[in-house]
Amino acid sequence: MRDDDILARLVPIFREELDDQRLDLSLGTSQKDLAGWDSLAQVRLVAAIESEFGFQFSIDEIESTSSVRGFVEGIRKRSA
Amino acid sequence: MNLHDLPWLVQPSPQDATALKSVAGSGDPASISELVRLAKLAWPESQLRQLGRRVGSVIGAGGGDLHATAKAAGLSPFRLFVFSSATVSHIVDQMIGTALRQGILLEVAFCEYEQPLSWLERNAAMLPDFAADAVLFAFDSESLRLSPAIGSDDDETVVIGRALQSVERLAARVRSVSKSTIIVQTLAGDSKSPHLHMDAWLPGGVSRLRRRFNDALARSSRENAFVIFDAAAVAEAVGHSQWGAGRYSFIAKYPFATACIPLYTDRLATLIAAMSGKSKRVLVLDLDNTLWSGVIGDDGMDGIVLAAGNPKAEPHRAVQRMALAYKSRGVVLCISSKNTESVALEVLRSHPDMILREKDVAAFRINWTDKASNIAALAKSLDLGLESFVFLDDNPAERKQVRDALPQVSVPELPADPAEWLPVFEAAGYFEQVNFTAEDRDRAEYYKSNAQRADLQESAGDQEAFLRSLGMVMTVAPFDAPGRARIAQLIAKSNQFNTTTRRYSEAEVAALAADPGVVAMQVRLRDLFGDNGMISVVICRKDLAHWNIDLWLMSCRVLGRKVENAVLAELARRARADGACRLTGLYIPSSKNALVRDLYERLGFTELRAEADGTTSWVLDLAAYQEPELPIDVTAMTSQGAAEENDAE
Repeated sequence: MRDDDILARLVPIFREELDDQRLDLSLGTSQKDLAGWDSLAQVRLVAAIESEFGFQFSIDEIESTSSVRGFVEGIRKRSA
Repeated sequence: MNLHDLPWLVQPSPQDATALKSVAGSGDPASISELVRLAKLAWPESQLRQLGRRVGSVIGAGGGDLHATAKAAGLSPFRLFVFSSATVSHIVDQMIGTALRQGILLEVAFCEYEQPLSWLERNAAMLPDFAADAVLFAFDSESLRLSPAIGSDDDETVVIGRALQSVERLAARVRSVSKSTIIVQTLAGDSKSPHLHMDAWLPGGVSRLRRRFNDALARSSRENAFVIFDAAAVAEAVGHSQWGAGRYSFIAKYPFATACIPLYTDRLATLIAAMSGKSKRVLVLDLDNTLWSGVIGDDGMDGIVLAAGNPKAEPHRAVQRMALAYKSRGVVLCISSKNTESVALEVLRSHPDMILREKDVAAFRINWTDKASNIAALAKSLDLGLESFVFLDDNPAERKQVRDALPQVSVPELPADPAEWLPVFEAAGYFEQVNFTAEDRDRAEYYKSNAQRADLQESAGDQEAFLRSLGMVMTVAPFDAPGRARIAQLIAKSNQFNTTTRRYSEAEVAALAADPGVVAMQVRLRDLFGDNGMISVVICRKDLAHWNIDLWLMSCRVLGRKVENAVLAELARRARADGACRLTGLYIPSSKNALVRDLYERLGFTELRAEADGTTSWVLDLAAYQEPELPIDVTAMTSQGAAEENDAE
């Protein structure tokens, strides 16, 4: 799966979970760029991404991932 | 079918999903009614959260004033404070969105993870400032330190006693600073601890420990007037493997799976609705293919399927048994059916396999008119609001017709197969109530005897003669401990004959009874058709030369019987004896109490003031007041006398 395809599927998830329908997302977006992306939102994002892509992140990944790129890499690694 | 998907609610359509994204969180009436409509749908957790956020911003748009915003929107305000040993913040929006389903505008504050007592030390003013209507205790076995040594009865007893004590101590602490009702949540099971078969009896075994603690908590709730929220039963209904938060309990301290949030918040909202006087009281049943299999008009007495043991009949027999079980809890049963009345009634009267009989039904509308009109007519004849009605019908088209025409009525969706109806119906918990009194048990009978009185009235012709022929005896007694639950229930539930709609919790009722500056009376009424039970409550606050009527309510069962005139006469007698010269009263309009707008005027009071919001205040000069001739005998009782009468039930 290409990074752009993954990103396209992440956009509606971020919009939904951060409750912002106009949210713009790029690979470079990180936790500190988005006010709504707090630790609670992190758990919601993880749960939604897991059900969209059908796998589970490790607890290490959940704790250390703080950017869109981080999620994309975690997803790409598993869909190779 | 998954109960945590709320299958008794209508599924949202793609248009509804779009509407949810675009609905404004402003306070204008159109967006509020759209939010209420959306709240009645079966949203999954994340969309329920979005709905809750919109609702929350309605309060924000109203300047943060919950009560003013709720009043303007025709909703009931409620403030909930939550003490939880797990995460709460991820459920708050869903609680708010779900509460709107019950017509409640909810505000939530909470303390999560932390020991409540140390939190209270640091935030002493927070709880009284928030003015919570209720405080929910949602603890887990870890925070309650429920970990006794395995195999020791004594240790288990000590550990449970200590856990219960910590709950009761916190409750006392909360009550010392606020008037909130305490809601205690039972311990739900989990899939993380050993559950061996012998743990059912092994002291310290998880399943036995949990059961014993929950039993103790239930006993304590009864003694201390806590409201119990049985999360254990909710978890069992969906199953522990679905209920458990799994890895999210480790990652984020979630108390249960996110998929179960809509069910948890729905059950909590139903309980809050019951505490706010919004209990359902009437179950309207369809006949053909609901109470039996087949169509009586086509199939006839021998053709409908109703025999015990017949697999097609059993699901319908189960519906009949369910209806009777609710009748014994005080739910009024009605029938609405498209049929020829005589043909359908014949089944209730003489079909040998019927479980439900004509005598169990308080009122029916069997005709060819549409069901919504018939349900509206039932509401009128029973004198109960449409909000208290639940309508059970196998036919999706009939359900939709009633739902569209009467959105106040609860109309459960049902699976296509009647054999799957009851778990869905029961999971909705429509008839939730927070107390059970003798009046509840006998309510169905009251409605029957009301019908008999109506017959007598017709034959007597003259209203005065009719009232005299009833042989009414009214008993007036001060508030006392045995009457407390019923008093609190009347205060929570009475909407129509209620001058101020001030709600007092059971704890506040106890405080009022002990207050020497307060005269609080409970009124009961008997007549030749039986005991109507406690039907009226009056609370007066004594001032120098006058008694001020803080709250006056009456059950609508006894409307038109001059009970209010007799209550006033007794009130005047007592006030005079106490040296007062005036009675003053207040009418505060609500969406439901137009019935008593002119009460004080009818009773001879003079209007003092009228506010812009419709509130009026009234005065009665006791020197000029003359007791009218009334068809009711009055017995004034001491507390002890009333206690004996309550015990006799």
